[in-house]
Amino acid sequence: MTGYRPPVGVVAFARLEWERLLPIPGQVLVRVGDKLEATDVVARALQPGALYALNAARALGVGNSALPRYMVKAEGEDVQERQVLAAKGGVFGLFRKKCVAPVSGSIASVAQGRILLEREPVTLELRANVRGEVINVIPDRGAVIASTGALVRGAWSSGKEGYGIVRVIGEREQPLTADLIDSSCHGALVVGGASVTREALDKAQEAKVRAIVVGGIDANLREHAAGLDYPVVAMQGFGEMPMSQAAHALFEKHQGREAMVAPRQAARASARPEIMIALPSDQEATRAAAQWGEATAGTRVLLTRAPYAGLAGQVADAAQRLQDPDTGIAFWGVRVLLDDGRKLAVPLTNLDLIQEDPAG
Amino acid sequence: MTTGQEIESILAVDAGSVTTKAMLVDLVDGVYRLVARGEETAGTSDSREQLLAGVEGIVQQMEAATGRQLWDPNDGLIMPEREDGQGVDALAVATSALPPLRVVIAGLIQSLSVEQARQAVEGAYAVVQDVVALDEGEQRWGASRGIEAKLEALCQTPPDVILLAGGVNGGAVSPLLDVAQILVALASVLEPLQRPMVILAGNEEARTPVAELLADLYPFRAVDNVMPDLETQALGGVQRELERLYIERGATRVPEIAELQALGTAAQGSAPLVSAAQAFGTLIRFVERRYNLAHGVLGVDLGGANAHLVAATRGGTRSLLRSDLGTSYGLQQLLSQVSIEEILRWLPFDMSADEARNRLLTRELYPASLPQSREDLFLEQAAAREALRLALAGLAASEQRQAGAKGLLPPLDMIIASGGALSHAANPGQAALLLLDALQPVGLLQLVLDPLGILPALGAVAAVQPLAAAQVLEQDGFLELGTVVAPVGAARLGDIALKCKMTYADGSTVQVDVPFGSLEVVPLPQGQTATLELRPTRRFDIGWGSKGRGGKIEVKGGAVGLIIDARGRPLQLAAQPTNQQARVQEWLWSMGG
Repeated sequence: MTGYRPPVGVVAFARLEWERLLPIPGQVLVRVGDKLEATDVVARALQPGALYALNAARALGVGNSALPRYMVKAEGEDVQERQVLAAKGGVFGLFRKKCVAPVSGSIASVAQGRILLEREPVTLELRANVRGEVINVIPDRGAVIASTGALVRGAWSSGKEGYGIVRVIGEREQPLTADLIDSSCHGALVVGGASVTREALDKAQEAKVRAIVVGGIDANLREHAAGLDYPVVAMQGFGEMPMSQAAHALFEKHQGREAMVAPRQAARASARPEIMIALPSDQEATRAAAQWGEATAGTRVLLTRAPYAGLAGQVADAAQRLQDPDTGIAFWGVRVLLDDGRKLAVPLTNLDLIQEDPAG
Repeated sequence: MTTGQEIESILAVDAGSVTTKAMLVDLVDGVYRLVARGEETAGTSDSREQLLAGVEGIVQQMEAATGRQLWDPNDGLIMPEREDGQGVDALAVATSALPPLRVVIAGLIQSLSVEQARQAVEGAYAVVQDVVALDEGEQRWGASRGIEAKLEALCQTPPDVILLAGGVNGGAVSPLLDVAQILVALASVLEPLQRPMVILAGNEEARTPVAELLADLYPFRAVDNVMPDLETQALGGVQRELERLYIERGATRVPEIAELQALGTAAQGSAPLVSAAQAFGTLIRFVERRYNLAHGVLGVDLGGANAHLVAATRGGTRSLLRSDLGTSYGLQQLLSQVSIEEILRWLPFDMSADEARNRLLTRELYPASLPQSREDLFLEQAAAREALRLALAGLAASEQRQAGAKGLLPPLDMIIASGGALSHAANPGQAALLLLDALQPVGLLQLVLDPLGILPALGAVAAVQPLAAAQVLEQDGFLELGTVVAPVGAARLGDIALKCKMTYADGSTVQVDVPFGSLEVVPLPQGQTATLELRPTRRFDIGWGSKGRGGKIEVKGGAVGLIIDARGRPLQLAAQPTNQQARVQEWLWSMGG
């Protein structure tokens, strides 16, 4: 017996809460009740600069313990790029050996023949990325923003966050190719087809696309996608996988609306990226989006694993012990009547729930 | 504990990375039995932070199944058991749900202290993030740019632990002080909260001077030297400290862990929270002692995020825990350590490398999911073989190649296997074949499966009430797959390797001549025994003293039966993919599909 509750994968309309947090402590710039636009800055922090360890003793040709005698700059001192940090003089400057700063920063420490140089700190700005109201402030870290809209949970993201105007291009079951991307995609969250080519990803970068959302992406493109300026989201997984009709229809319905991509921050790969399409409504009156739910008879569900990934249907009866006729595996699951008329036994763990708009 | 003396009922919880499992153990007619069990699957990482909610949910399932109230809405778990039978006497909790500790090893000599330290880390829920060795490049810290880059990386991504190792006891202290000086300098660029714990496991003479340098700057501990002299390895001190830190850090970062811990320690007779690895190790050692096994037992726990091997013999226990190998979360890391072709060789059909990579990495995105096609099922089992094979290679390395000739496992009496890839196999034969392919055991041994995945929880029970663990194990825990006979030797494919005659309890007999290269199963149901007469041919050794030596032995049956694996050791694989696919298909058919 299992008490597994499937995650909600598609939410047609609900009240949503977004925790926007700095990765390190900083200053929160908003207050409870503030109404925010997507571009508003929620919090700001000074991120310590990267560390450079310079083997100065070796550069000077001296023993580790002798280095302090040749230091030109002291611990704690600010230095500019190319400035000399330590030097061992030759006659009239000839054969002079020196250690110079590769970047601007400050000398954090000198030990064991090494100079530890800390680069200047970088200011981090955390934007709201979503239009909404601040309902909670987390001191030194950020805020919780409430908004209303549609939500879809994907399978993989390249790790970045962003927002843009929803624009659906191409066919749901076809790859997103470079020829489909043009200047009209500028600033858009582009929703494409069953996969995306490397050329399309590059052209989207040139066109200043804000995000790409597709059904699947070849696993070989993960690193390339992670290096782009904008986030890439695969809704079903790796390989060529048409986006679910349920998610695709939501994007089509809300073309022209603002949407935000949130890569979930967590240590494990199971953290799923989310895309929220902002839709105006009365926040108080709208029911909250659920994280998980029950797959009972009549529940609309999406199947997540191949060969059925992305197919939708309706749970036919209560959860029970079932066996897959193809694999022979026994599992705790439900029978699902797919929209295409087939009836399948599906493990509960292979389902996402669809939360439909009660208002239709 | 209705009499106020004995622990009669125990709630055991195993909070894993993919699933939280719980079971209720109680005395039934004087024998401890598994009376109810339940599980909650952690569908997303958010559940990781809802461990207690998960446990509550499972307890509710068990309450519904048994009609016994275990959880009070106001007071939580009812302990000890009341006169009316509500509640339990003790709680035993094991967890592997937290991410492993990230460890940077700072040592003196790569092949000595650093290697010992690495082995110590590999026995705990920890991964080696980096190794900085004094003897990299030239002597002394500072030779190559590599060390500078490692220091920069260490500051960019501070680990949880810096393990400082080096020197034998009584040796020179100054090299360790050099390393400590570097850590002093690093402290100036690390925020206090970012600073990792420093564990000194080197020359014990260096404890005081190193502590003087570091104890005010870092959380600091000194434990037994991993290499007190050149002949001795002492990993226990580091492993205990990492175990303690793993649980302590979990309690700090995940409030529910602290609550679970408090629940356990509040109850009289309950054991403190332990890692699932420690619990599993306890259980495997327990089995070895209880059955007094001459060669010992190998425990295999292949989880979603960890691969854990424990070899318990009369000579002691060896364990290896790879927190970077698993059958769901660990797949990406597995693919960075083995080629896709090494996985594909275990498939009975053709699949392109890109297709296999895409399928496996998608599986990682849905860690709790189950395969819904034959292709995915066999692909996941193939990946599990490679994960186990890698873990075994690590264990063999840690045994300093004493494991046996050609890196083979030494003879064992029993292999006990646990983990989703095995318990979710379509039939017992698939699970047995996975273990035989990956571990390639030799001689005669029993294969045992943990079909319910309760061994870590039972290990936690063993710490509270050992008899309860033993009785549940025997009555409810094990699924015996069968007895394996695996001769070592080589001949031409098709030449007879072994002749055997099995005499059943009813006197009927079966005779089989087993050709080299084949895998044969002789029916012998679970619960039955038979007399087996084995006569290996002159090139084959079944572990009875020499090649060609045979004899008679009583063997136990199992869900598969008597398995004669004459495929050779190491296993002979076909060079051509199509031939290999055909062989895998034949093996699968031999084992029941």
